Amino acid sequence: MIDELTPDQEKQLAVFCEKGIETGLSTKPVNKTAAKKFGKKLCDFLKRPYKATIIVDGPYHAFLSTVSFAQIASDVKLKPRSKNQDLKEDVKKLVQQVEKQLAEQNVFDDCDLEKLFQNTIATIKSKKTSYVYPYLEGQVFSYYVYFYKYFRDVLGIKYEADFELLEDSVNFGLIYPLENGIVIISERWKTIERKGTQLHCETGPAWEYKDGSKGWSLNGIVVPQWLVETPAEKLDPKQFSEIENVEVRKEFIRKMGVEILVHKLGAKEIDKQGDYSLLEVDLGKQVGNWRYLKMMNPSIGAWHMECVGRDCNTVQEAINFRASMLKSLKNDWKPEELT
Amino acid sequence: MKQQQKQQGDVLIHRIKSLPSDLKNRSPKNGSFVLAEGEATGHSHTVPAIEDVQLFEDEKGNLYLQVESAKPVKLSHQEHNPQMIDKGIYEIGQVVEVDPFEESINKVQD
Repeated sequence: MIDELTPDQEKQLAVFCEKGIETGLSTKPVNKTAAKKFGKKLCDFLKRPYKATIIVDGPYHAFLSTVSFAQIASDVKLKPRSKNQDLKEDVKKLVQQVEKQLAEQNVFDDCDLEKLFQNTIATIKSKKTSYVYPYLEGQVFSYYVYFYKYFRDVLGIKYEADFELLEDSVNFGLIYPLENGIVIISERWKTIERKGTQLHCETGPAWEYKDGSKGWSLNGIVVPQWLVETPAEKLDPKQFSEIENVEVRKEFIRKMGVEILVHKLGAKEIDKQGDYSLLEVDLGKQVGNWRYLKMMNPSIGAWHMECVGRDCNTVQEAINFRASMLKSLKNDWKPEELT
Repeated sequence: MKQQQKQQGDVLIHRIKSLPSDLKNRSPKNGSFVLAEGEATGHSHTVPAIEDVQLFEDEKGNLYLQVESAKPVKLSHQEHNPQMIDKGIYEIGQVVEVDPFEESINKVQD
């Protein structure tokens, strides 16, 4: 029974946290020998006959390969290779990569890979299959693994031997073990951009894999490409109204600036008092109408806006709302001095 | 007439008659009492930690400032014009705003 952590045990919390982040965001290429060893170990754990480990360049290729190889039973008789398949260059490259690895591991050396992958692409295009999620999430699961590693390595808690599989899995990208004994493992990130611990890039993709899979993120929120790559002054408030995800809508506001957006959305003035205006604006589905107090910062001479309670009907009510943290305030908030 | 209400940016200073009970002393940082600190900018609203000036907090972290010196003390911030605070007891507050997406009320930190 542990009642209290020692100072060193407390210190190690931060160390494990940092190691977890570092592993999760690592762009180091996968060690092929280690990946094959892991593939075999995983098949043993799953009590499946091991055939081969295929390392591909990213999640898209892992998905294509998984859907393709999932169609092959472990005892299937494979046809000779077909030629002149209509495959895009990147898929042809993937097929060659996979073919080479299978040959090295003496598996499916007469497999009609081009046809197999072409069929997969047709299946995906006809929407007969959707993204297949991995069995193990590899490096992106490192936060979970390092949490448990801390208890084992620092506090001496014992786990079953199976934890080692999870521990090893963080050295790879996504992991798909198939029933026929083929294990698909994807490479780790090629590039990753972040602000602190959050995925963030204001000029392009926040992450990218060697297979071309990429994504955009602002302040840790996955956002569409256009939101990152359209300059703030060219953003259209119509696009704001069309965003379904509330978190993405917040990022739109952060980028465009609430003052500009509120005006562009056609805010209605509810009340005015000197330099202050109380405005009402519709922030779209799920969020609805809110009221903003527009005011002048007297020290720097700039306008700004802050959202206030929905029940504020006058500028003074909005000002009082903003000062509502003061427990001693019984009257209106009207500071004699404001800087 | 004594000033009752002052505001510097998002910090509210409200004169009160007496200090509430069960307060703890808040320690100064680098020779100043910090009334509010901006997380993003690192800017802060401060008064000098001189004799006759004390900052207290209650169990919820609400702040109270006591100025006993006859000479007013200076309230400073990197972006806002300074103000002088007279002898007296004050409740210190921060402006709040609504996050319409979370429907939560949060302190504004400039």
